[in-house]
Amino acid sequence: MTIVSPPPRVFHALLQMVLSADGVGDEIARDLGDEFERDFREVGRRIAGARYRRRVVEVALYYVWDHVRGRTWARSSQGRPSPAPQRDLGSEPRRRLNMLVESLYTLHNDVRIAVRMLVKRPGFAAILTVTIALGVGANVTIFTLVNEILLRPLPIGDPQRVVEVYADAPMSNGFSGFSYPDFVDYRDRVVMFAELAALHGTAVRLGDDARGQQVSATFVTRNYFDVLEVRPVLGRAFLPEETVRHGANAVTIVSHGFWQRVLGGRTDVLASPIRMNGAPVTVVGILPEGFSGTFIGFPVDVWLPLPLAETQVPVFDLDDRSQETLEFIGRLRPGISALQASAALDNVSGILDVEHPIEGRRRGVGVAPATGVDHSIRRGVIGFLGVLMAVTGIVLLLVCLNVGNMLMAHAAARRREMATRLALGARRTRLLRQLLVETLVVFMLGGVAALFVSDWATDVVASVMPSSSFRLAFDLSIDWRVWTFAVGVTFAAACATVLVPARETFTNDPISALRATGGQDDRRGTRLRSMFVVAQVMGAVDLMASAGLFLRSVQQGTTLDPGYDAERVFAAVMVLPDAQYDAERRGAFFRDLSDRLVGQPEIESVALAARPPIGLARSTMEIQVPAVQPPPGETGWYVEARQVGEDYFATLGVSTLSGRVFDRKDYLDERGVAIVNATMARQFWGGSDPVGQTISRSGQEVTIVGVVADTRYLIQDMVPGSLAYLPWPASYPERVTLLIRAAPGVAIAGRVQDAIMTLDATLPPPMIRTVRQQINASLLPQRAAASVISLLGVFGLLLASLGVYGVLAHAVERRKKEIAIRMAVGGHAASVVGLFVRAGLRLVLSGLVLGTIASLVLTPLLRGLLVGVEPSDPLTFASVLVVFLAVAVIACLVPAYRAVGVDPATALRSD
Amino acid sequence: MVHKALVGEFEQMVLLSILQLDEDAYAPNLARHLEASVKRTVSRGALYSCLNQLDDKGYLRWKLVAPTWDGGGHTRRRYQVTPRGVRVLRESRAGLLTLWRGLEDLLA
Repeated sequence: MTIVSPPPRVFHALLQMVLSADGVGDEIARDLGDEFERDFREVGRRIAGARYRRRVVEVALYYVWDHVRGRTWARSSQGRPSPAPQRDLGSEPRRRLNMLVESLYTLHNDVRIAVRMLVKRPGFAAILTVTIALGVGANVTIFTLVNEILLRPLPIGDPQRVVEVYADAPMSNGFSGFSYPDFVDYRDRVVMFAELAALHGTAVRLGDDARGQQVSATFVTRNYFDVLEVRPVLGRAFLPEETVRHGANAVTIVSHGFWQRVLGGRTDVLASPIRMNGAPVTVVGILPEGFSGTFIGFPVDVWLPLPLAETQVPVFDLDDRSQETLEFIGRLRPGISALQASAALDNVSGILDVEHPIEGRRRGVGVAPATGVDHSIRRGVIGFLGVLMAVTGIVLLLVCLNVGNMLMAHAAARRREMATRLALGARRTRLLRQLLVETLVVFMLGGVAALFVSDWATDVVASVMPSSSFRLAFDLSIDWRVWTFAVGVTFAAACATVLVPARETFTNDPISALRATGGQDDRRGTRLRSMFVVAQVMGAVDLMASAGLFLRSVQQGTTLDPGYDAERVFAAVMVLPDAQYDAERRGAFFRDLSDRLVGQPEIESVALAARPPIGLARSTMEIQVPAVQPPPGETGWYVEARQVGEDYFATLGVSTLSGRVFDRKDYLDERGVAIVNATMARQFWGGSDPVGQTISRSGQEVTIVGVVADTRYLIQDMVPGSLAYLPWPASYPERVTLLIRAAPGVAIAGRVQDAIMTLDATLPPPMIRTVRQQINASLLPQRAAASVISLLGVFGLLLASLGVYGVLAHAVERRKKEIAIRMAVGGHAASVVGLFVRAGLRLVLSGLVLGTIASLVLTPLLRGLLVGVEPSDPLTFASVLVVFLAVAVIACLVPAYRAVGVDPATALRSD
Repeated sequence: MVHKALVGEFEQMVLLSILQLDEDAYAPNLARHLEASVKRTVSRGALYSCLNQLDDKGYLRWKLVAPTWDGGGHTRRRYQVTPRGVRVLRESRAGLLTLWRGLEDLLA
């Protein structure tokens, strides 16, 4: 005898629950149970179970469908349908479940219809999918960058309590560090921090060879990892005896990436030494994957105790209060706000300025949240990313307009169907929901494809990052924020897109729609689509104008004339460590180097300077000029200042306008002399020659001995300001910029490095670049923006062109008969072509005019990011208009020529 | 006389099965009989829905039968075709036979 198991319980319960409202659940469950029992005996449990499940699903679906149509399955004892209240027999959850099941069934149907529609028109579906994928993908890509830089918190413990401490210096680019004695004072006097740590970021070379691989390093105080609440996952943290001066061992903690990349992920790497800057250092800990310091985009490879910097980093002196190269990071005590900490720090800063005055230093100290982006550039970064998000937002708007246009054309073809259903009693909300589902299905396909587009695009963004002495890397992985954004923007775009075709379909009277014949002109729909195209052209003009301005910035930046031949002047930053060179040895080194280089053919002149002749950072000094009152509230004038060595002006090729350049005596006797540029001469002495005049600097009198021609010293400033040159002290500092003037077209980097190696083989070879190459390297933000926005601009142009083509193609289709009649009665093809081209160009020109006006209003927002070009640059706008018109003419010609290809007989016969 | 209400194909099949099964016209038996007759799977949901529709149209009636040992030991619903249902089956058959006339060789 076969023992029959009960039917699958879940499906049994489902059946009873779904059908319980009409009181027939038990009965049908018993019937199906009987069949299950019979099948069990005949064909076995597995097949019986499969049949049972299938039957339960069929019954449930038919039950729901009948309910949707208003048919109940309830039966009274007389065999007639029971009244509806039986459905409310204290089963509110069941009623809600029934409603949910009905909605899901309807949704399932709508999705099926939408998918069928797309399958029937694969070309239409493909165009929609690709268009949406590109638009959404661009937005997701930029958001991935925004997420990494601005939104994702640092992988540290309780990041809200961690702050970076900054010092604001006047008339500089905002960055000013601290010294180690400062750190001790702040740590001891400011009680707002649970822990305050100091760090110094630099680079170290692996191995003994001066040409060994350079890696990013940070020297930190012992409590650095306590501030961040980050612990090594392998090994240990620094021991107290390792973090004092002349400590027990030279140790290091490395990042997970460094361990994998450089140390091969070996498990025996702990407690084994590696060579850094020629000295042995023992690896004692490996940090968790994902942590690479507190500055996004600049991953740190190794961390070392701060006292080790005195032997590893040139001229590093923990006792020197004037050496302000440290940054602070702290964890606030519970209940302490950033404002309170800022006030306390600023107070101590004022006290320290009195106790230990340093010439020219006057600053405020505060805290900012440790977000991974330095507070001094955070605003600029937000602005830059904001521009990118706005640009991709415009692209998405263009996509919505384009997709809306295509869906409108599709909806127009279905007007009769919709009108029929409305006339038969279908609710507008039901039809609108169907339209929304169809649009959502299309956008979902596009959204999925957008993730692939975004994946490819983020690889492209990562590859745009330049090579430099510091490794620049972002984690552009997709997390829950990116997913949420992708889903949200896809859904929002779908909802925005569906409104117009829905409105177009449903605001028309069904009767008139039913009366309409197939070829009748839909004036309102055509007008709306034309407006869409004009809006698309407007948006595309904005994109192309922005792209053009950034391209011009790059072009202006790379071709800017600094006032001398930037291709012939080479610059290299050199460091002669204090540990190996005193002032006398340093002077002898540079004299020997200069003699070796000048003696070579094709090298004309060599000079030294405190910094490269052009860059992005300011360096100012305060002066007083007799008879020229400083601005109200100020004690003097701030002008740019540069310390330069002998032969500086000859090496650059800057002409002397009046007086003389510095001579040897100026350097040896350390005279108080200065040379000013032409702008400074005009600013303070008007039309008269300032040679012989005096200015005051830090209480000392300085005599002007010469005036030289203006040069560009800041890349971002199109017009040079006042600049004063001062002679460098005879005892050279540890860090100098070596300037070399060579014959045109000569590469000298190798010769310079050989000369340095000959004098001292232990010195790391400096990067030797022409001034032109230095300028180009500084233009990274503009290059990145130009690349990204250009791509988007081209996409916008393509979308707008497709829009124009679509409107004209639709017009050709609508007017087929008219064209056929024209051609049949002897009309010329040229006149038909001209008719449609003129119609298309009218749309394009409207969009161009409106887009240009909008761009002129919006592009001034980009002023801070542009180099050497005004936001209303006429050349840029003219180029955009010409390119757009050319592409638009092609977009008009294609459908126009199709129009003349219409066979009159076929067109006249068709309905 | 022409009946304005007609029955669909499946409805006819269900009514005919009920007539065939007579005292055994319970839903599970109807399903099995239909599947054996037309050699295809019959959706139980379609069957129950159809039974309800036929009941609404007055072409069948049902009666609850007391539990029996061979009936699964529980109350079951037995269906029966009403006179109205028989009438509509006759008319449908007459109509089909009219249409079939002359096509015996082709469709037999």
